[in-house]
This record gives sequence, C-alpha cells and structure tokens, in this order.
Amino acid sequence: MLQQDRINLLEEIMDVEPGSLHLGDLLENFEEWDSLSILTYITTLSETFKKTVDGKQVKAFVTVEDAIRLME
Amino acid sequence: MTYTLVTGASSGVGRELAVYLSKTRQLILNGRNRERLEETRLHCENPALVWEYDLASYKSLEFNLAKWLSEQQIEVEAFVHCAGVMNMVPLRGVNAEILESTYAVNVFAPELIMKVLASQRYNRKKMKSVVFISSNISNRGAAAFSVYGASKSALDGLMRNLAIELAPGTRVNAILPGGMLTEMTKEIFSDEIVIKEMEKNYPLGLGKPYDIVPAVEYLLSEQAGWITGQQLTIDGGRTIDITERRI
Repeated sequence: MLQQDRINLLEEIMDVEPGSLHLGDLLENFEEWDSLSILTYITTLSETFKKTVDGKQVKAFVTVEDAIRLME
Repeated sequence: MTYTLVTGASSGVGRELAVYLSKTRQLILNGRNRERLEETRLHCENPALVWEYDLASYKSLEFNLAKWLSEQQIEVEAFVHCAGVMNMVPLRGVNAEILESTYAVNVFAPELIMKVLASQRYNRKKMKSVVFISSNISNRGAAAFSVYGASKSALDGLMRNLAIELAPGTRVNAILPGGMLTEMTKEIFSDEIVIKEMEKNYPLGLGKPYDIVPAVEYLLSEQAGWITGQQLTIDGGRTIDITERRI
C-alpha cells in the first residue's frame, strides 16, 4: 500500500477531510484522534493488516507517520 | 439546506410518514422503486429528493449514499428508518438467505446509513435526530417470528448503542408499532377471519400507519431534546393487555 493510501485510510479512520493529514502532523493536535478513532485504528489494523496492537501502543504514537507505519 | 431521510418511503408507513413530514421538512425519499417513490413525491408538500437504492444491497450502500450526498451537496439532519422486511418463517424453514435478506434491510442498512450520516466528511456531523421504526415484537416473542422478531431486537439494540455513542450531537430513538394494515402486512391481513382474530388482541383495534406518524415527528423535533435511546411502543394496548380472554 502506497504511503498516500495509508494516510487516506487514517483520514477515514479519524473521519477528517481528505488532505487533512500529513506525515509530520502531531496526532495530539487533532481532536478527532480520540478513543473512538483509536478503537477503529486497532480494528482496521487487525482486519486489514492482520496485526495486533493494544491501546497503550497506539496512544504512544506521536505523529501521523507513527500511525501509518504499521499499515503494511 | 438540511434534509430528513426517510427510507421505505415508497409505500405503507414510510409513505404516510413522508407526506406528513413534508409539511415542515425537506425530505429525501428512499426506496427501490422509482415509480412509487415519484408517487410519494407528488403527495409531498415541500419538494423532495429521491435516493433510489435497494437497501438489501447493503455491501455497496455506504459508498452509494456517500457519493449521492456529495453529488447533491446537501446535509441530512434527521433520519427515519422505515424500510423493513417482514416474514413469518417457522424455525424449520429458516435458512441463511432469509436471515441475510431480513437483516440486510432491518439491521445492516440502518447501521451503515448511520455511519455515513454521523460522519464529518460526508455529512459535517449535522445529523441531530434519528427514529427507527421497530416493532412491538422487539421485546416479546411469537411463533414463526424468530427472524423478523430478532432483527427488530437487533435494531433496538443498535438504537441504544448509537444513542450513547453519538450523544450529545445526535439523539436516537425507536417506535415499536403493533399490527397495522400496510403494504408489508397485507398478506397476513388478507383474510377476514385473521383480521377479526387479531383485532381481539388489540384493545384499541388494529392500527393504521397514521397512528404512529405524529410520534415520529415529535421524536425528531427539538421538543424531544432530552429523549434518547428509548423505545416508544404504539400498539393500541396490545402488549400491556393481560386479560385472559377479551370479551
């Protein structure tokens, strides 16, 4: 999956407008990066990429780049 | 401009509801039959839009609705899920196809529609109130109703869970009608003897679609601003009657 596709997927997970996220953006600056987005992220990672992560790991992400790194 | 989406608007309760709500709201009429939707539209007071889509095709529903909303450039502030599939099937006749086709319209479709309407990217989080048309069987049981009855219980479960997840921005409630003479029930009520037998169970008699319409309007309105996650049973007294045998 291309890097842009992964960013698009994260935008979908966070329910933000397309083009809102960039690699270096801090997740804490987005109110949409809330508990529901984190849950959706964990589910998507499991369903689409067959990867298991827990909430603690996800909450440790700082940037958009951190979040999309596991999407492969 | 904001709209109210009514599914199942081509006949029965959905059509009556659409005509009533059109007095005060801009509507989106959903159904699978264009001709019948156009008939409903002719009876609406305010001009209505038509979203022709068969909710049984639930796998492409999300994409289709999001695309349609984006093309129309409109926002939806209220949603009434009236579309429903009812079947009387004894357990021995149940199969995967019947389950899927019933749950597709009664449960999967409303959840996927809610997902689109609750989103920022497709609807700017404009949705304020939602009413699901459930059934008074939701909290009860009846022979040959395992598929339909359980699907309505699932619909009410969906209503309660989304009422919490989407609060405080969106209120979600359900109306649980009893037996009504509609397009969906016409086969059951085609026999005079059946009607007479059923009427005995309804202290206020069998219902008509119009009997639930004002309650839907109320739940959608700001007057119901502190009501969410609730089932409102409107069934002419059917489910509270403990008389052994009505006389």
